[in-house]
Amino acid sequence: MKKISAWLSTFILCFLFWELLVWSANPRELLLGALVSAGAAALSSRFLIHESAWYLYNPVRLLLLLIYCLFVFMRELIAANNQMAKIVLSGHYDRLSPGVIRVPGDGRIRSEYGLAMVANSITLTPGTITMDVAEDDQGNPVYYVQWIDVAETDRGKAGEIIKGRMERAIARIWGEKPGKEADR
Amino acid sequence: MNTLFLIGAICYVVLALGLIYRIARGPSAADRLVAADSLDLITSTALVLYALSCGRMIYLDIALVVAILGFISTVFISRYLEGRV
Amino acid sequence: MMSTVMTAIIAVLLIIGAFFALIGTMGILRMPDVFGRMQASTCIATLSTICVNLAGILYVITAGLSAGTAVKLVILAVFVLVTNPISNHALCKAAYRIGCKPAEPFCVDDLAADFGEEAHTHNTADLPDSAFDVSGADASQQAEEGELQ
Repeated sequence: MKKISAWLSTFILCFLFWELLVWSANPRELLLGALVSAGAAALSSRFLIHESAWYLYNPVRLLLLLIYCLFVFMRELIAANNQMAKIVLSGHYDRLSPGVIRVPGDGRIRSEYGLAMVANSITLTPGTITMDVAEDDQGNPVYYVQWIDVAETDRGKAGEIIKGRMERAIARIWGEKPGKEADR
Repeated sequence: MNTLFLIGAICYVVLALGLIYRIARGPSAADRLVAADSLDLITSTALVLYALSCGRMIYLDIALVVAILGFISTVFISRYLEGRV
Repeated sequence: MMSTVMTAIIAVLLIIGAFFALIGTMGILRMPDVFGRMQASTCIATLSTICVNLAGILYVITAGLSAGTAVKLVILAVFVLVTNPISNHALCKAAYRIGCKPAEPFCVDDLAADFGEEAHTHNTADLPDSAFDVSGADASQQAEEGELQ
């Protein structure tokens, strides 16, 4: 039963992607797309779905995701790009102090989608790259971040500078109550 | 409007030549791989601009394929460098 | 009137995109070590791609082309934004693990402090250039001995 629902949710995603690529309602295209995405879903559903199969299909969650991508993330992206442009155009590369720093993560984000999204958001802002995600002894996530100019060596404050606003917005999307093992 | 996109595409091609210098010169394999990854993205963007300039939308598909191949090859080559393939 | 405004907006977006692509390329060409180059190359993937695809979408809407083209541009931008952090992460971790040296030593290095020996690997495919350079020492030696002529 679990396998079938995982297959079905992957199939819906693949079919939507095929429709976006082809952009026609010709019955032949629809049939071919259904066949191809059924095969792709059978091969790849065990890589995509690890927990609950219908975790992704939640309209509130998708709306919050869209708001996050369009406003919160875009603002951070533009600010980080401007800073990177200043660094490159100034030409004083010997004044930078690169380093790999361990920043503590929000304990509310436990699901794989949330962890991957925080790590990818950190990597996409120029100036920081996530190198590893691990768990500390309480089970909270920690991120190892390669930072081109370490401005703050205190771990908590560095985490606030690197990902503070983005992580609060993501915790609103994928976060769960601490101690409650929901959706697993 | 078409000339605008064509000028943009030419700018991107010039930037790609700069990246080719880094690929030829780079001291280690990781430097070359960084430049090659960016070269894929620049090629895909130049293809988008050229498609809009001459009105042939088939180049958009080619840009998508170039982006996909660049992603897969970067991930595989970096795993190979790490000695895990 | 409308199309003039649209042309101006598209031109501004294209200039912003080309400017950040220039920033990324300059960073790759001028930064002293691998990690700085990697950070600079993120500019190309993010703001440059977003701005150029946005300009394309605006052009498709004003020129009245088919909606499938605009959707394809959106797919291209989203695809690059989703996959680029994955390849960048794999590349950065590989460069760190095979022991690429930064231009100045890291001021903080928590990965080496926490994982110790496991943070680096000796198993690498990145050999120095001298391992491949067969035209250097041997050939000149042979030329001196006169075996090749």
